[in-house]
Formats: sequence, structure tokens, C-alpha cells
Amino acid sequence: MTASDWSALRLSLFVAIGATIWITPFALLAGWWIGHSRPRGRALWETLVALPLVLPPVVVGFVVLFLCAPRGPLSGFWQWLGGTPAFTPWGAILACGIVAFPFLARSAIAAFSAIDDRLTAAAAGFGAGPWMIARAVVWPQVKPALWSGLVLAFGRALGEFGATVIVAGNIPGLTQTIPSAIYQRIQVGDDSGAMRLVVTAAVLALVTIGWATALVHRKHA
Amino acid sequence: MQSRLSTILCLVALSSSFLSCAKKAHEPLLVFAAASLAGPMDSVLTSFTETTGTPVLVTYGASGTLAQQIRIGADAAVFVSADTTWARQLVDDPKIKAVEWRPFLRNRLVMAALAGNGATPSFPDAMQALSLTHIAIADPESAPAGRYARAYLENVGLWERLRPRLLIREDVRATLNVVRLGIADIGIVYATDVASTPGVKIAAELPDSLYPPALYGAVLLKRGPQEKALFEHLFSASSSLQFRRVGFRTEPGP
Repeated sequence: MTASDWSALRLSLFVAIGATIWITPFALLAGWWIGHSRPRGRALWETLVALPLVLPPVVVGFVVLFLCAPRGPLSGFWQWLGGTPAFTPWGAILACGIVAFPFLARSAIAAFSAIDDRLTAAAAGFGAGPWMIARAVVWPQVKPALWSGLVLAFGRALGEFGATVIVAGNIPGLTQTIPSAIYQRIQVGDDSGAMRLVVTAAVLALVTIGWATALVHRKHA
Repeated sequence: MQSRLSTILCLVALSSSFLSCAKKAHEPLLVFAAASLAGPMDSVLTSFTETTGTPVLVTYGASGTLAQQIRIGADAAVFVSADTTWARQLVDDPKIKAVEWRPFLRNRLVMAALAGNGATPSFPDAMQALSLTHIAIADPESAPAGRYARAYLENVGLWERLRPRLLIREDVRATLNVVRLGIADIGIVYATDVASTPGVKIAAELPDSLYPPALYGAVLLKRGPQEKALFEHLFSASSSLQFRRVGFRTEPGP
């Protein structure tokens, strides 16, 4: 592993973790609202949540880049924040998060819609308060699905390429994640360099998927 | 217990990667350079960092792509384009506020083929050119090498006939790579690309009267002593030597 391999690995983890963190509250809220509160037009909301799953990542990249442009529609907001996230690691985090969002949100919708309301009612009948119900009745029911959704979202963010490379570019040491480094090395014919990162990506993928699978199986243990 | 452990591991990974990245994210100077400069530019920037202590990050690509990235917000300090068109366009864009630009290097176009076995396709012979299956060029829309290659093919009257056989790659190094992999029989690239890539050779030189001069332009995009020092370093005698070593010609100093 060379210095640039390590920096790609570090950036990949940084971006994937950052993306998972910022989408978590939104995905949980969406999951609760769509899955448990069951709003009118639920199918429409569920479709919207799933959209980044089906849209080509370059489309997500195009839209995010458009929104990030210094003279784009959100220019005032970016100025207030101190600069546009385009071509910075923050842009990569933004784009990766949107692409990874459905993985957590869909798990959350499924988890919250499967909550057994009779258990909740029974707990309330025994005099449990809302906090107690959330912790002792709801949480054990949704925990495995939320964890695996979280890990899958993290894994998707880790492998994200199409949207990231458009919003954040492919700048070694700044925005070059493992997938974008592999792409660049293939382009210029650095075969051994690409191979090292291919192996790294494969190991990361195995760990992530293994982790998610273990989390799902623990439900039945 | 296990889940607590993984949570802790997550937090550790998170905080360490956040800290290391957040610290590094803003300090270094960013250089956007034409793909053909990869190699000598790395040495030149390493020597700059060694003498001044200022870290530099560099990214290579098609000049047009890089210029577009700068226009939509990439925070580059210096941009080196493989032509003067993209360089001038940034300089003339009032929203970019470029500080200055200078002609930088000259390069020449060649026909590259796999080194070693087989007869060299001699391209100037049009008949033979037409029997070649794939000819790789860089994207004329975004890579200057592609625009020069297109101008050459138009000037020798082959552009329309060869069009179906063109393999268009996003920048000049990717163009040469498909030649190296044997996917294209020949590629139109810079002489310097062939010099810095093993496994390929120059099959034919292209007469420079048949394509526009491949003059590179360097643009200083930000004010500041470090940015200025970096810009000047590109034109220093030691840097010129690095670029000349792979076959660039340097412009006489100001």
C-alpha cells in the first residue's frame, strides 16, 4: 500500500461515515413517518425515498452539482456556510449520502411499519410511559433492521462512484476515494496500483456485507 | 457486548478519519494540470514542497474538464491547460478573477503504437490508415490533444472516413492506454506521453504544419504569496529541466 492508497482508503471511510451520519436522522424520520404514521399518499413518499436507488448515480451527481454551483440556486446558503462543497470532501459526503439514503430509509420504513401495536398497547396498559415503551418495546423490534440498514447504507456510500466523481472530482488526497482512484488508475494504465485498491475494496465489501448479515441473523439468535 | 464493541470501533474510526481529513482538507495548494503533464509535474511539485514546506495536491485530466470544474467551484490555485484556449477562457471569465496567465510549454503530436512486434503502421499512407481497425484519440470537446488530432485528421482529409473507427477517450493518457492494451492499433497523442509510458513507441511524427501549435498555458487563479511562489516555480530552471527531460519545449522566460 502506497501513501496514495492509504489516502484513498482514509477518504473512502471518511466520506462513507460522514454520509451515513448525515442521512441517519432524515432516514429515521422518513421511516417513522412513512412506516408508522402512514401518511396519505404513502406509496408516493415511498417511491420518492427509493428514487436514488434506481436513478443512475450520474443523475444524482448532476443534480447535486447543480445545487452546489457557486452561482447556482443555493449560492447564498453556501456563501453563508463558507464555500461551496463542490470539489471538496464535503461534496462527496453530500452526494454519497443521497445515493445511500434509500438503503437506510427503506429498512426504517419496513421496521417501523412492522411494529406490533398490540405490544405497545399492552405495555401502556401496564402503565409504561412513552420513553419506557420506546426503549423496551419498540427498540428491540426495530433494532436489527435499523442496524442492517445502517450498514448497507454505509456499504453503498463506500462503493459510490458516479455521483461522487461528478460532485467532488477525482483529486488525489482531497476527494479521491477508492472507487475513483481505481477508475483513474485504469484510465492511465496503472494496473498494479488499480489491483491493490481492487483487493482493498473487495475486503471492505466482504467486511461490510458480513457485518450486515451477522446483524440480521442476530435477530433470530 | 459485541454491538457495543462495534459501536466503539466505529466511533474511533470516525473521529480519527474526521480529524485527519478535516485538518488536511484546506491547507494544501491545489493544482489542476493537463493529463499529459503527469510525471514531470509530480517531480516539480514535490521539489516545491521540499523547498518551501507548502503541501500541494495535484489532479490530472482533460484540460477542458478541469477548466469546467474550476468554473463550477473547484478551489484550484494553479491551472495548467494543454492549450491556450481553455486557459484564456478562465482568464477572461470575470467571475473567476484569475490573477495572470502565461504561455508555458510546447508539445508535439505523434502516432503511437505498441512497441515490439509487427510492422509499424505508417499513418501518412492513407490507404494503410483505412485498414486499421481502431484509432484512439482524446475527446476533441474537452481534451486539447483530441482537438489537435481532429485538426490533423481534417487537414489530411481523413476525419470523415475514419470517424466510425475512432476510439474516443476522455484524456490523452487514457487514449495512450488503449493503445498499450492493444485495443486501438494506433493513437494520436503527445510525444511526451509516449516517452513516459512503457510498452508503446512513436510510430510516426505528425508534421506540425498540419495541426495547431500545442502550446500549454499556465494560469494563476488565486492571490497569495504561496500561490505566486508555486506559479513561479513552474517556470524555474530546475522545473524546465524536468519538463524538457520527457520532451516538452519550454517557452523563453518573460
